[in-house]
Amino acid sequence: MPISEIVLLVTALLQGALLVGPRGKSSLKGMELIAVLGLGAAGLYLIFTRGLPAVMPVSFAMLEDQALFRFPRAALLFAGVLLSRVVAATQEIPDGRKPEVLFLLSILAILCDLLILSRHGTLSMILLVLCTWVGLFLGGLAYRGRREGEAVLKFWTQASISLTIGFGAIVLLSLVAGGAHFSVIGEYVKAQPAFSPQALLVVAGLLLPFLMAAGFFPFHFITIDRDHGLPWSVQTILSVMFQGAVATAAWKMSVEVFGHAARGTPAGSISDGLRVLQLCGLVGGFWLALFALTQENSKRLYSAIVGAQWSAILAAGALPTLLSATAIVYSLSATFLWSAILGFVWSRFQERAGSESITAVYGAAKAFRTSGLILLLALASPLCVPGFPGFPSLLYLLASMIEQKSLIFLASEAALLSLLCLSSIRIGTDLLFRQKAAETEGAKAEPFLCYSALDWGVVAGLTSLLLFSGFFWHSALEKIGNAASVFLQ
Amino acid sequence: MIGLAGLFGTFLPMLVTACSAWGPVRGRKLWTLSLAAHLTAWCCFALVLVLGFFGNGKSSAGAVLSPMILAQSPWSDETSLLWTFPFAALCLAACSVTVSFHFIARGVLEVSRASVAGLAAYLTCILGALGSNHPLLFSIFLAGSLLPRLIFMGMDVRDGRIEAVKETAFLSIVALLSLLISVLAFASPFRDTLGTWFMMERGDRIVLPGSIGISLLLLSAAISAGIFPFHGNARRIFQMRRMERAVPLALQPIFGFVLLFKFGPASFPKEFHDFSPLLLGLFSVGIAYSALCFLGARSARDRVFWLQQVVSSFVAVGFFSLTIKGWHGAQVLLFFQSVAIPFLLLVLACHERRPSMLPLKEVARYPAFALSTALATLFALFLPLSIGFYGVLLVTWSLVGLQQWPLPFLILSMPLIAFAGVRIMYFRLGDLHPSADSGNGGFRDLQRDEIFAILPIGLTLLVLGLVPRLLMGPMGISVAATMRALGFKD
Repeated sequence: MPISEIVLLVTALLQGALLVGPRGKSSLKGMELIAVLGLGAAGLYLIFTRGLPAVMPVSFAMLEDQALFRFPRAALLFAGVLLSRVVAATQEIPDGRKPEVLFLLSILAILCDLLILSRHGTLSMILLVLCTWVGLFLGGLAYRGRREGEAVLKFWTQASISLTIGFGAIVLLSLVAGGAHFSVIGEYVKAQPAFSPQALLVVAGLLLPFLMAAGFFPFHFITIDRDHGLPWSVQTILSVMFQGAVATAAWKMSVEVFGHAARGTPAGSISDGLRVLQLCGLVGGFWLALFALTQENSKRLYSAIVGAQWSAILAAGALPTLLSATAIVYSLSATFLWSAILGFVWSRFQERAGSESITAVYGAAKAFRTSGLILLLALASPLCVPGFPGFPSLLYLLASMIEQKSLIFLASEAALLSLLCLSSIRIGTDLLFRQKAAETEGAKAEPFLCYSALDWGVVAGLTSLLLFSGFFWHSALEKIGNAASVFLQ
Repeated sequence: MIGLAGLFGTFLPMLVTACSAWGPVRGRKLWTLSLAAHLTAWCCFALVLVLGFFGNGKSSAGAVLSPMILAQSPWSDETSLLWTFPFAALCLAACSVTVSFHFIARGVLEVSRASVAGLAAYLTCILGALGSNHPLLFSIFLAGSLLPRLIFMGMDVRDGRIEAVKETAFLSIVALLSLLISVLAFASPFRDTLGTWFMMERGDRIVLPGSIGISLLLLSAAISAGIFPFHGNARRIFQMRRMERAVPLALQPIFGFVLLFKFGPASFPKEFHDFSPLLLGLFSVGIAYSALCFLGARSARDRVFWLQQVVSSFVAVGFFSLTIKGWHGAQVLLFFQSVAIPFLLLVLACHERRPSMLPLKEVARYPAFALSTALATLFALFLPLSIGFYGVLLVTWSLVGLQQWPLPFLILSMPLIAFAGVRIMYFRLGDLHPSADSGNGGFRDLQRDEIFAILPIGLTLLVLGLVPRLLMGPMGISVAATMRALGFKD
């Protein structure tokens, strides 16, 4: 197993040991510190050993440590570090339950990381179901009443359907294709005509569990309803870590299985599986982006814009070329970071205001200046502003759409990205420029929203990383490009 | 060395943006630092103009090149800032406007660090856009201007107008996306790798690509310049609580027109040749429409807005004539617009700070105010004393013998503008409704800061109006060289 997984396992074991021991403030502090150090160390390892080959591939090749995916994996773990601080600070979850939540966060990080590494259908389905169940437990730990109960129930439904569809599909695919390894399924798909019943069976069998588990189109509405009932801390974990990891894994799996154009189609044309994933991304992205524009409830709004961002990225990656792979991986990595920072600040604002409505935090960024600045940086990141990762992401995503030679898809992606930018602008202007809401009055007494030194360190580190990757985008994209060329070979 | 000065002048204001985020530098200290940085930037571009074009350095047809600032394979080769005479002059104009703004909005800038940061970053983006020698670099600066402008506008927006700020920002993003698609698909060197995406099976290039490319470019330029059909959006700038904030934002049309002048015909020579008669007609009608609206405008802010639209339409007509005379006139008018409209706004801001209009019979008691108001009106209406007069003359002349039918629209608009223009003089005719302050000194003459704000720009306009050759001579040579390089002839 790769060393990062070992570090994550040790983190989870240490946290498990603390869970068994006596409870108290010191054990909670210990849990928080272990989460930050463990996830952070694993992320740093992935960044600094980017050039090294896979340290320990599993013998039966179910996992593969691709250099290309170390960037989004590191970003996922860094997002996990910040989200552990959201858990530590929240008042929506009682202190007594926070150790369990932090432990589950580490477990989820391991599962998400493995999901990105997985190259086997069965393993992917197991990991998907496990991730869903961890999410279910996270929701359960935050249980306070009917609303949380309903959210858990929806999650349970989601998990059950994912499990049924996923394993049913894997059994079927194993019978049809002669195995569930992505390379075996890929060989089978290559031999089928495009959009033939057999090819569509493989597409449905492989993609549906991913789409269902993470709540991508056509299951996007379940996620919005579910997240509405969960506390901010759990919601951000699911929207950022889980959904992002599934998006990354779904794209990786699609490229591995459907990367080659089907038999009889001209070279350079888009395969059926990737086209379906692209359509899911586009339609779901549009639905969520438009939904976000009309939404007053902050939780639904957050879920919608983060979900729409993942969808928009998936929509651009239909042609597995160097440009496209670079664009997708860079955008995914950046989205992990900015969405976590956004969730971190926004959840604090909402909790401080004691309301879920965005009207309650109007002008909050003016009241809490430092948090406002961080919020502005997080909101500017998906926008096409130079110096932030949004600009190179947009440039590369548009270029990869141009490569696909379809004017309709290019126009759709551009429209989707501009709608997403509009949502970011809307949140930014509401929180920055509007008159202060009554709920944020008296803010001068606590200008920093009670951030601890650890919070400051983590936020400053991640924001610097975000800005660094946005400012020096050329060198970042060059490194990703080198890794992408290896992956595509 | 001259190129380095330009590069330094372009990016120096960013230092102020960085400093304004740093706690200890605030208030008067920050204002002084910002003013010093903007003045230095002004000096840098004065150096570029004096040494680069008026001195022994380059001839007026040449250009000053800065050291390479971007090399982003595969997006573009070595990219840098390059100033021909008209764009170096516009850089100087933009710096002058922001320096003047420091004096008129001293109170605002001393209390709002975000405004200082926004202003400085906005100026950097304007200067960068003016110097860009590749559309990708231009896109970066256009994108960069989005956030500073959003902050600068948003910090002082009226409560009911917050939607307008969002709308402006959204349209800017649409403009940027259009431009990026156009750049990625049609600009060199990317055109060579991705430009084949519309190839038909037999290898014939269909008509669609060029028309799409030019449409996207025009959409981007129209939104950025705030001209028809996006003029409604530009109007929001004039609806902020404090009028003085509109002064630097009046430089916004530079983005759109620079995009057209620098990269339009260079990227789509055939399409511009085909489409220009249509667009020429459209903007000729636009001049008449804007002149009528100018005549019918009820508030002073609206009048300034419609006057800006008139000038923008003249610039567009000059541009789409695709002749040396037309481009020369358009460049002169673009410079004129970048100085005269902010000047008018500065005077309007001074006026709005006073409780009532100045009665005409008391003009002698408040000479500075009266003189500035009269000069602003005279300059803005492109009367013979104003450099704008020569610009309008050249644009109209360029149509003679080329396209006769738009001429009546232009000629009819002139008396309308002149007639409406009298109303932008902020004097009260007679003293029918004496205010409490009348005659007892309640009406203040221009204060020291206001004079510092108005005087340099007013003098610039006056000198250029009296000696137009100073600007128009080198500008004409430069424009002629550019047009010939593009393959256009008079």
